[in-house]
Amino acid sequence: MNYNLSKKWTFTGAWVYATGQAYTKPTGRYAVIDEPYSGENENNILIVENVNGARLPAYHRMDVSFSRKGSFFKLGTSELQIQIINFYNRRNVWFTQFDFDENPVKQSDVTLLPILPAISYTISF
Amino acid sequence: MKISIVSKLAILILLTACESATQSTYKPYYVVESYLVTNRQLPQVRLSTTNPINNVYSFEDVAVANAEVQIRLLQDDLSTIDEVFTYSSDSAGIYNAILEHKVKPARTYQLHISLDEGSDIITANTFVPEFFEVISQIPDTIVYQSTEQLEITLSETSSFTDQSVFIFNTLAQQPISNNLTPLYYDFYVEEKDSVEAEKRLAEFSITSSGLLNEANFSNNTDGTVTIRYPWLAVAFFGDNKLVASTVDNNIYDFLRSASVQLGGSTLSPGEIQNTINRINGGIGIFGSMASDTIDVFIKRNFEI
Repeated sequence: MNYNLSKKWTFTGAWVYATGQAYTKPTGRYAVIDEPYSGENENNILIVENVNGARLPAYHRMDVSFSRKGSFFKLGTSELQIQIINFYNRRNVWFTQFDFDENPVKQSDVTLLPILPAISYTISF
Repeated sequence: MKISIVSKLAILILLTACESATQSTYKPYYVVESYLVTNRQLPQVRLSTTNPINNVYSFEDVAVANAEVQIRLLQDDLSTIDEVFTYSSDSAGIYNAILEHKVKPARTYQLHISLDEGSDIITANTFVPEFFEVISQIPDTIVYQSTEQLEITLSETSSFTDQSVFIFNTLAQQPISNNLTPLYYDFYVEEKDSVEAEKRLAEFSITSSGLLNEANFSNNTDGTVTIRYPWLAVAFFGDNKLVASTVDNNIYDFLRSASVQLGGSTLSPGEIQNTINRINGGIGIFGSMASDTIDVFIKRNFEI
């Protein structure tokens, strides 16, 4: 969405929504204990029900920007842009990981970038 | 208000795409674990259930009691029962054979478990590998990482998998930290927690080569097999027992599929696969193996 606030100022906003990525989630576990060919006391075995049978949370974020057009000491044109990516600081999940050495299994989400402000100044001759 | 055909199609596609997907949910399974070894007594059988991934796992908590457990010796037609060995349980989930019986080579044994008065039945078959032995002359003492690597020649054995598969284990007889070989000593000292370090020491006392296929040994013309024993498998100096084992299809499939899961502490999404279970009515492992053991003294090499 673009909106001209004035002759110099422009507002731009974008909102993105996507269904969460499918992934394979382990649902259960057990241990083999008597293995005659291993020195470990317990070896964890995982159970998955369906390949790609789970989904990460939905991905969505809003980016907004304000830009101001002007001149650069009458030598050329300039544009000042103030941009905020992921405006409402949505912690979208990139992937989820499992630490099977922990009991119970520890699940943690690796998230994408948080709110990210950016300023740019462009000069055109 | 008029809606164009393109808009109608777009809305239709959007609604179709929004159909909810079925999420994976936990289902409990019976788990069995038992390993028959050629010419040894019938093994114990563990019976339990799986646990949800987010719960603390403890065998005692999921052990299954009051099951009727039998191991049956089958005839070659696999439908006629030769002998039945009944099991009893002293502690929940662990069943032991009531009568003594040495596992016979080249025969099929069947695990038969009946639960809840026969409403749940678990069965599995294993074909026991023939006995084999180490036939090469093994020196009593070997210098660690000397140029003369330990070579082991095994007598001819039947192959039940598509290719011959062996597992080698090294059982240290004096597993103390002062006896650790350099590589394992580094692993030991990098562990700061003393309890974890002791645990690691115990784990090193039995090292496993993992599954060795034909890429790892030589097939001789007389049917024997020669394997160069890797120094990496030796974790302790001093007296060691080297156990060579050949495994049946059940163990082979279970191990190779489990090794994918057990490769590290974290796995990327989509890389997790179920183990290959040859159990009807449950999951786990009911397999058999044949093995032979040799004793060898690993001497320190002061040149390294």
